[in-house]
Amino acid sequence: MEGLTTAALSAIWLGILTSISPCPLATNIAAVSYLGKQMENTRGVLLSGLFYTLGRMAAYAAIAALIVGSMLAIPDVSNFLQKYMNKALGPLLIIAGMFLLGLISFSFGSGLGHERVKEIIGKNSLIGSFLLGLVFALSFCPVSAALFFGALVPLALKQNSSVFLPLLYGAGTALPVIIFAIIIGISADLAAKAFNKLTAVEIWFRRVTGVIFILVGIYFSLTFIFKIQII
Amino acid sequence: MSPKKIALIVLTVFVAVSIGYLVYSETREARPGATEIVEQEKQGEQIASTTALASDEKQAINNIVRVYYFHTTYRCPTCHKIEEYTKNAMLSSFSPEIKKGTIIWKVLNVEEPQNQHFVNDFKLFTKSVVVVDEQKGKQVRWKVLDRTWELVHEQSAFSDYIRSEVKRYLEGA
Repeated sequence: MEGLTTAALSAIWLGILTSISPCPLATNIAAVSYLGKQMENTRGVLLSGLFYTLGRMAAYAAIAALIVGSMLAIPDVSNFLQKYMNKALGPLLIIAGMFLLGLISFSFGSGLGHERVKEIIGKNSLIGSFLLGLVFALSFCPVSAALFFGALVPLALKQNSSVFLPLLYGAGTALPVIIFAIIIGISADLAAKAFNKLTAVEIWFRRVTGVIFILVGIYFSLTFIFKIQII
Repeated sequence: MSPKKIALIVLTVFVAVSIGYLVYSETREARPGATEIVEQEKQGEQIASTTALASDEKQAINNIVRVYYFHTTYRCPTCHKIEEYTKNAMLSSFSPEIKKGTIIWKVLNVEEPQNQHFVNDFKLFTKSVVVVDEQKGKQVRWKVLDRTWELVHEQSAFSDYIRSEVKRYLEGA
């Protein structure tokens, strides 16, 4: 039992270490702005943060379960995700940013279907937060690959805990992002209320988030597709 | 034309070019022999010539310890740090052995076609330092030094770790 408690704390700590290392910084900034923009109330930020965390937890638990079940080999899955997810992320983030800025809109015809899609992706965007967590977790960078595949998975194997420890690791990777999102969301909310300009601040927050998504997307495209080293 | 429309066109073109280039580079990579095979020797001519000398004196040297730093084309800040610290530890502690050819220190990009086999050989899943014991041209054992990521924030502990692991292999322990 004591072993499992130590392992659980280690899993959370490894997650936090992953999140605060420099290489996932770009995606973390995008996530903070996306979650923080649900600023109409603290509950909104918390709920989005929860779904973002669930997305990350699901991604890590699924990979660990596939590895432990011997369906995937660590080098194969790690190298595949590092190579292709980061390449796909660039165009994906730019398109998401264009959507946030209102440059493009989803129009799958008109009527009920259209409204439903808008409702899902647009306002509360809990599914958006979940998908963001899932996709960002799958976009492994060298540090996250080293800590997840090199430290967390062996720990999970040793403890015979292929789901529980990866779930905690996922929660650990989301923790710093959520804390920053809450601070930013609440600060913006207070400032907006103080100046009685909630709608205007909300619109600007959404625009800034869109711009951040596009910039991070351009950074990923230049780095991973065109192989231009910026930093 | 409104700024919104200009932004839309520019970004759409950028996304299209990115996807197009991605597809092009992936299909080109999949074709064998399409790119010229050039081994990347990061430690420069000196080590390359030492290696050549070592192969001339192969009969005299039965036991070789190879120390590799494997990276990909994309380099992150921490990856650069690991390479730099390993290089410093190697050159400051094992210069005589490197000159003699009993230790070979190499930095290789595993995304280059001729180096891709190392990923399977050593089961690599991220940028890694690997130490290999080679006897009479055969790899008898190897170890991925996976604590490098953990120790990268303390250079002295990192250097001690590299030194002790290489020394252990050098002494055949």
